[in-house]
Amino acid sequence: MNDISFLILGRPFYAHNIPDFLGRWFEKNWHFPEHSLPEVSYKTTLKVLKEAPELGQGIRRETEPDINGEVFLWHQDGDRWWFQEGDSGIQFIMSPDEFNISVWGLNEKKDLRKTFTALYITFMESLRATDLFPLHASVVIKNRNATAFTGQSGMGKSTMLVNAMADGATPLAEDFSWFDPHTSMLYGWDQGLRFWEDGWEKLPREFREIDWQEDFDGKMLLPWDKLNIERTVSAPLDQVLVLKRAAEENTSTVKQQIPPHQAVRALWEATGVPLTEYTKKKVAKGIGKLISNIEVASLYI
Amino acid sequence: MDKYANYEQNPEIIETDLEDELILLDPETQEMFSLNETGRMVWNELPTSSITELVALIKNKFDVSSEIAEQDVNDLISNLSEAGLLISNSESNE
Repeated sequence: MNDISFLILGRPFYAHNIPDFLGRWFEKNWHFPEHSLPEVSYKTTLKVLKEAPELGQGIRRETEPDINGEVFLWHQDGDRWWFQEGDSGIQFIMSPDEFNISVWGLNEKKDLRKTFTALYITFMESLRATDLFPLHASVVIKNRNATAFTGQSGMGKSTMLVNAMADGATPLAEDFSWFDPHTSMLYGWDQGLRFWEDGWEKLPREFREIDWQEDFDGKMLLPWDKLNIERTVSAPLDQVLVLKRAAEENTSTVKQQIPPHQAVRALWEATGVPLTEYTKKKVAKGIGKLISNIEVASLYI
Repeated sequence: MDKYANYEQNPEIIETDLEDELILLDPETQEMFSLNETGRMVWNELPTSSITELVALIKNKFDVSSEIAEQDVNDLISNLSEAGLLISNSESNE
């Protein structure tokens, strides 16, 4: 059992008396010391309970299906939200000053993939509460600024990144990063390149020769440090390009401006719908700010 | 009693304010609406105003006749409710 504390993009996080496997999960998913931002006052705390607390009834809140088509059933009672899977569960209480998380029944021997995904969602809410929002996009650096490629699943975000890297471009993220609408900075949040086995053949030969690891969801992971390439961990976001399929007869890549309401839709698709009303409003404000400061266009490929 | 007094905003709707327009998005159906200044006013005032009050507000703000203001308000509410962005109170209490 350990106490841990570190900054998550400048947001303090404290966890008390947590088992080693949970500590490793935090280290892997949330401890990115390369992003050394100034510390802010909004803090997130986590404690491990011996058993489930009194939860009450609450209102049922089903999430929109995630990228794997999974729906999560949460319950809400005011500012208190909870998720349960058998004997395990997560509860969080969001206030204007801090974000308090409790977990119970977590055990490394049980298959608690859904509970850990819910815990990940919980941490995302804690960051959204401080105005940051995530972007599902591959990101490359051009002239020291970040260009994010977003679009629906299967549209070629990762392929776009790998092709750009093969041409010498510097990557920032393969799939996931955090955006700060106040500074327009984008922070990479990936461990490396991740591919399903059937996408492996598309990789340049030098990448295929590297030792890969199997990630938690079965994808093949090529850690950044094994790729032997220069990588930028954060940069100002310069443009967001929404990937679209061009008509078959068109062989060239065409960039096209899109009206603001289409940009809004694309950015909501790229960030995902938050759980709470409070964080929805925060992200909506951030998206409005992004659209007024940063170019959002379609890229037909 | 006002015709639409029993309608309220669907709480699942995400509002994104772009200053020139207000974008309403239903994450479940992906239905999207872009509201201009008149639409924004109706959307924002609807929870606390009757239709008569909304018509008066539009008439005074945009200097249009009562008939035009009433038509605008009714059309907008009808479109928003058809798209599921407004729901009836009876529906929300089910």
